[in-house]
Amino acid sequence: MVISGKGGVGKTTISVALALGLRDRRRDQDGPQPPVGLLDADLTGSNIPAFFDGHVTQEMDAEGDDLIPAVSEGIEFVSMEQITDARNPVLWAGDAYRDAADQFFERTRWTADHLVVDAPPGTGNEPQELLPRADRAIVVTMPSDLAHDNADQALEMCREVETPVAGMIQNFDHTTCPSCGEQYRIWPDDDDDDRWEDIPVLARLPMDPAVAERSALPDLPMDVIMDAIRNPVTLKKGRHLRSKALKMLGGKLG
Amino acid sequence: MTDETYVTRIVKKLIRYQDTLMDEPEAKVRAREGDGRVTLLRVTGENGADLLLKAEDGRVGYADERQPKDHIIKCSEDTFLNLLTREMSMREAIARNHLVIEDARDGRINLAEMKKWGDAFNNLSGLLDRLTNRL
Repeated sequence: MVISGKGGVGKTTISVALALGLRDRRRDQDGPQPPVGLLDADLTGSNIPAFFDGHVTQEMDAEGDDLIPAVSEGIEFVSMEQITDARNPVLWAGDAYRDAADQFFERTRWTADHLVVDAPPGTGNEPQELLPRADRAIVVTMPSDLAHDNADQALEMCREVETPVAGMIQNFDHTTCPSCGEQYRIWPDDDDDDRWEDIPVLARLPMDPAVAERSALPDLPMDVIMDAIRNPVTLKKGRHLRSKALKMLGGKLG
Repeated sequence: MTDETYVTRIVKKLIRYQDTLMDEPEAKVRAREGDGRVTLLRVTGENGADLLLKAEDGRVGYADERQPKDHIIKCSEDTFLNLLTREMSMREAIARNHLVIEDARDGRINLAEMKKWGDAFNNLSGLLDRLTNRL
């Protein structure tokens, strides 16, 4: 599950790139491979379908009480936009979001064996519903204090629901000068390299106009990400209390 | 069924007129998909009504009140009229929370039914126009 805490950090783009990356890694394998699933859990701001516009081979459908995901080139996906249309704001009450997130997860006839969940910003109904069921979380952030603070909240949510964290992805980390090709940081260098202690930073992605125009997707280091997914960090509850106690006792707590 | 309100009378007329249009090609597509389902249509407001409907052989009719409900569709009489006159699309009514489709068993929203109803109103808009013009 791809989470962030902060909005506008590029979760959806990274979720799509992750799903495509997972799909592409199987292309070398023999025989037909199952699709990769992509669940758009951003119910009030869904836009996953826009990434597959013009390439959908099977539209989303419903049968009985189940949803049938849309299909595009080895990706299955569901999104609220496919039910309510992109132009209509979704103005539901609290529990309905939890029910919808649950039904996207449980009542969709996924044939995928891997499911990437694109969470909305924050720690609201949808992540509360789905994060406890996720095998791994990837936290997306960007180089700003506020985004890092919100990423901390997302990590704390992982700790609370005991979902292991594969790592962080820092989006908009730097950019490349179109004239001289030099890379530079847009925001002042942050000193947060040690902020997340043992949680690895899986990628520092550039701010790329081609990605903003959706003519390209970020180039994710899939080998690094797959390794982190296989070896996640489980945040233990009570860690802060232990370290606080350790400080109070001058490091003498066993 | 409650006392006859204009909502009750409109639904009665829609059911009566459906046979004159259901043989049209656009109506035949997936017409039998809802067969066997019993739905309580709950239209709130002074002229609202509770109507127990069932789909059978690709047609909508009244259900026996003893039959267990599968779904509950809730909307106000304003929304009901806006949908019939196509002032509002079904998808918009669902998105804006003007119309809710719930499972009768547990009262939770039912996304699959929302998808079906939204698509049906969209795909059958021309037929609906012809049907409501007969009212």
